[in-house]
Amino acid sequence: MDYNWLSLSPHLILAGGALLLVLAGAASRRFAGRVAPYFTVAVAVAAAAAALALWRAPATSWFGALTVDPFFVIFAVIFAAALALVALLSAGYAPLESADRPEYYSLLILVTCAVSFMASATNLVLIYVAIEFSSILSYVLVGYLRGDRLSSEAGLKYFLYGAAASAVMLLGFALLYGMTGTTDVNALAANLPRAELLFGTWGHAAVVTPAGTVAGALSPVFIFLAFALVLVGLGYKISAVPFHMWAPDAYQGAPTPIAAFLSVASKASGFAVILRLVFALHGPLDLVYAPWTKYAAALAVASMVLGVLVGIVQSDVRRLLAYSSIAHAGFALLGVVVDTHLGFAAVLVYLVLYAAMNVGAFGTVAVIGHVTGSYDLKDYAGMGRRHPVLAAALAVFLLALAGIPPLAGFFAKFYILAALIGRGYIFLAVVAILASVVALFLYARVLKPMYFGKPVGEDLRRLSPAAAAALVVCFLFTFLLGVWPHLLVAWAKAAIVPLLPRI
Amino acid sequence: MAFPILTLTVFTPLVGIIVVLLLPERWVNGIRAVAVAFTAAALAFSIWALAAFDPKITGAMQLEELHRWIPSVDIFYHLGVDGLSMPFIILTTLLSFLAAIASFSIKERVKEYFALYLLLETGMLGVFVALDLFLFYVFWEVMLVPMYFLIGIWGGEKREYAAIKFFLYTLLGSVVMLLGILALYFTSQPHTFDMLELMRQRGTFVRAFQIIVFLAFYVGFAIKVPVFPFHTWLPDAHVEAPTAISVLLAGVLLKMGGYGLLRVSYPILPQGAHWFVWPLAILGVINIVYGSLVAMAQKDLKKLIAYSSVGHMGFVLLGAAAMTPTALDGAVMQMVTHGIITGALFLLVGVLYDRAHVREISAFSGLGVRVPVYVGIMSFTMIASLGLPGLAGFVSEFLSLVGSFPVFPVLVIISGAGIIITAAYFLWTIRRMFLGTLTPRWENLPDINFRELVTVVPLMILTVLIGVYPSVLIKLMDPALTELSRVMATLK
Repeated sequence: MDYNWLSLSPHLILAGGALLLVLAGAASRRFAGRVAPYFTVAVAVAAAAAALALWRAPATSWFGALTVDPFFVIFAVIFAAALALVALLSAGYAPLESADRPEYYSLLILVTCAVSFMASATNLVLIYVAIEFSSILSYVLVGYLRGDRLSSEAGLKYFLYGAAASAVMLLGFALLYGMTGTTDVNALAANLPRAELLFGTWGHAAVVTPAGTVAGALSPVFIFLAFALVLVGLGYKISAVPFHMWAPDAYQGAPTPIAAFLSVASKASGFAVILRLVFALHGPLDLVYAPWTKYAAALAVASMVLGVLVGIVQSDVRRLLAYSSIAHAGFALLGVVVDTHLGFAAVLVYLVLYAAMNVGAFGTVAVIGHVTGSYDLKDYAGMGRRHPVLAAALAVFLLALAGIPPLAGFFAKFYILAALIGRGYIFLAVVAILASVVALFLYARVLKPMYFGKPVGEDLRRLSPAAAAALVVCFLFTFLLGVWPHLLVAWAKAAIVPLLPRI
Repeated sequence: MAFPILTLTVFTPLVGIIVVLLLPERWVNGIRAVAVAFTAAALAFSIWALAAFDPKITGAMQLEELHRWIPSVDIFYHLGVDGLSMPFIILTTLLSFLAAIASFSIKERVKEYFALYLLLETGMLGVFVALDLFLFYVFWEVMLVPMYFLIGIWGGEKREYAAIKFFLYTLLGSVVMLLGILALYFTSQPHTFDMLELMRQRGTFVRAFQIIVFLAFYVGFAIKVPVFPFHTWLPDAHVEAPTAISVLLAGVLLKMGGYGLLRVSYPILPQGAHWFVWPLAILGVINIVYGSLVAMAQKDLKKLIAYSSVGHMGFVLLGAAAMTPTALDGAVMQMVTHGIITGALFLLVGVLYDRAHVREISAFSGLGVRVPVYVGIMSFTMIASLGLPGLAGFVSEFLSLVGSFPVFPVLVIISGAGIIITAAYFLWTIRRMFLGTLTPRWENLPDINFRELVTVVPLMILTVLIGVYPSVLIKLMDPALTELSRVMATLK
């Protein structure tokens, strides 16, 4: 039968861990509250180990709904790493101290489980359910600080945007199903030409099926419409322009560790689904609607440009980082646009490297905010004197995000640019590098007060050991993966090539 | 495997950073001593490399180190030197050592200063030894970060503006260069970032491609040189930077543009270079004449020297454009002598500024009476900078002009005007500041001290040595540059 429990092991570990934590919370709140962060780290490590064990045993099971392959493993590791780091950061985050701690961490584990499902789902229904699952948990986590007006407002905004986006996406899935008669992602391509039966009288374009026969008239309008609608939902997930509006509010209002999680894991999960759909429809997408890459490119360019330009004028560090994450989504999206093995591998590499440096950046901001109680750029003045180590850490993460070698962000951008140039997309490459130059100015807005400004307030001393550990890990990855990305690149290629043997 | 002398040279300062960071912040003198010790060690290693280097071998790199680094993207850790890079390595380690001593005048945040300073040195050295374009780019960019902070934290009044302007300008140039690097990678078969391998494949690059990629690299290099009209960051950065950083900026960073042109653009993209010869020569002359004229109009002494750099770099461009062996010798030599002389000039401006806290030329008069040693050294250096025969600056400008004359006779004659203007503003400055009656305000101005003498005197000795016996330098680089000239002539 098709019940492959082994391939579900990462998801099951996460789900089980979350439930266990809720039960423990019911038994002893104090005890569960104290061990919750470390228990979460243990669950994350176990889930990552389980996922890595599946590297050599790719399998599609549960009637084709679930695919675990190296592609999934890379995402699962990103999610697990984000979970562990965010759990450690949350342990040292003051506003959460009065909140329900066991439930917070169990929700965090559950949302990781949800995004893991997104990365492994190969059935439209499961994809939708996983997206909804992760979104609903995210709304709760963003609004977790019940006493905080900003947090509640952010949760509500996020919810409204998310509900609208996922409804639109569901319509897209419905259209796809209507055209193909299947919800199996891997069967979509083979079944697409059947759409002529439904819409043949309206359409005119001749379609060549992957088998090479002319299948008759299929209206590209419907295929385009389906993808456009799906893209709304996924664009929202990766916070690409113009579906980005929720991100700055949510990141600002949410507990900052949650913002770190959303900007890394949630975004990566959106990319996972995008990539899966693009892989599955690779042939038909090109044949029926060749310019799809142009639309994706437009989104990418808009995200990069708007992200950095609007980010520059922000005065709240969390909003600034939110716009930076929008710009990064655009940059990573360029890898999808390139539509080559190199480009797709570059997206994976980008997401891994981005996870390390962005969790680091948000984490440092959270720690600083925890001590100073402020996220305003003005209060970062003289941080280089008040806490040299924290300031240096933040400087490293920001310079990494700006793409300065030899830090992680440089190789991430370099690899995307390589993919663009390799395909001959010079214009996009030029836009991308110009956006990165302007982005430097964005990050310099934080560096400047930290190092050039006069210190305001007293020196900071207290630093939670758990948060410090998380930052050290982020720093090591930001530095080491930047200096030596060889294995990461090799893994990304190994994950991509089997999925797209034909290009 | 040979002894990795180049790796040692490049990464010794990086080890120094770790030591500096481990020292407590209040041990100011300890931090200074450690930093100077590590720059001295780098200097020693570079002299060792010089001793092991045989300038007569051409057409091959020496002291090569080649290791796989990121094999999944064909990136190698490839270092090596030839007659073109060797002088710059010595120049970098020497100036870094001297400027580290000059940095003792930094009183605030000493620990951070020297950590960044040492990072800057590693970045600079790396650029001159890297033979893999990816590695080259990494070192090229690594320099920007410490430079940004060094100007922004320890600089003058408009430091924040100057720092971000420097950062954005040079970053813009280098990312455009990055596109050129990637274009070369994908055009080469098999794909490679290795400079030597790309040189072997240059015959396969079509002319139009060479021109486009040449221009991409040119943007990166021209901003660094700086070539008119990309020079506007330079006066700001120079004036605002602390003394030691101005020295490195003028002495080393400005050389990277010219070095990159001769190391990367010429041998890998010869047809692109030939296509760009005329614009390059004309821009060189514009640099010479325009830079000198603007220098003449300056009221701030440091700004005057900054613009004099723009003028001096013009000779580099002119010599490079002519491509004759003599002109190339002149171009490279001009970079080295400019590093020595202008480095000394910036050190001396710093000496004066540390005491007087003003740099306005008009604020000084008759200093010769009060601080004779300082005025003697400063006049000597200014005269060396304007190209007095017998001193280093003359030899390089002369070689550059003589070598260029057969190719660009008219342009060479026009550049003569630049030399006259340079002489005029330096002599005029000497007259205004050092001669005449002493301004009463400076009656108690102390003369140059021993530590400051230590930083300047080695540069003066080199100025005289190269001026009187230029063969020490020419022997080192001529074989490599003659070979480059020959290669360029055959690939027209």
